[in-house]
Amino acid sequence: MADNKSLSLEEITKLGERFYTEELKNSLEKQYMGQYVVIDVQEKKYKINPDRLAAIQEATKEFGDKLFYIIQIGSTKNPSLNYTEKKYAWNF
Amino acid sequence: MEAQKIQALIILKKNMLGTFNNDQPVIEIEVKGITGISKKINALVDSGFNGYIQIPFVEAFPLGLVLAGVEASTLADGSNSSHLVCKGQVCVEGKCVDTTIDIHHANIVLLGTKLLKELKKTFVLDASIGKVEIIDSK
Repeated sequence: MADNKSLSLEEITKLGERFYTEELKNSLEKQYMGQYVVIDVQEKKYKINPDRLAAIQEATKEFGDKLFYIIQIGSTKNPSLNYTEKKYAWNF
Repeated sequence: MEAQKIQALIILKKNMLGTFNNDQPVIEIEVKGITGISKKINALVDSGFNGYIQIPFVEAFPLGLVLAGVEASTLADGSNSSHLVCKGQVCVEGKCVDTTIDIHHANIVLLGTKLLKELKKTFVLDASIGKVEIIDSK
């Protein structure tokens, strides 16, 4: 990982969440429901692809080898056994 | 992802037979990381998990998986959660498929439906006789 080493995972999560909610959510949900958006939170640029790995690869190719904020557009995830998910230090 | 940048391998045998312990379908998978050390771990085939594969921190760290980012998700109960996402590869009989791996604190390995779809696999479960199998889709 390279470029955004100065940002912590918590900062990436908060910046990504804010950028997605305020600037992307409404427009992307009309057109790309269910697809993955991979966001470079520093540059406020993103890539969209139905395949999560492909979206990450496209983002890495264009924005550099850094950590991204990833979200599936408009989807409620069903990790059926994740009912045990709790708030830990690494749940941002 | 370029071939030389692939940091992990998850090897899934062809036509795997699993177990049905405590009414849960479990398949043994082999995970191989950047260090070259492989480890066999039991994965719960979760037909309700519409993701790829989920492994716990304790399995991910020794494998040296490479972090790609943080994914946010809304869980079925409406709560929000975030988890780490790493890049990896799934191999079946020497044929490899690139994929992403979810890292969670929960000490459980889940095999999700998106990964089965990518691998073009059929999940067979006969609960009455406890038969669990993952075979090539026709």
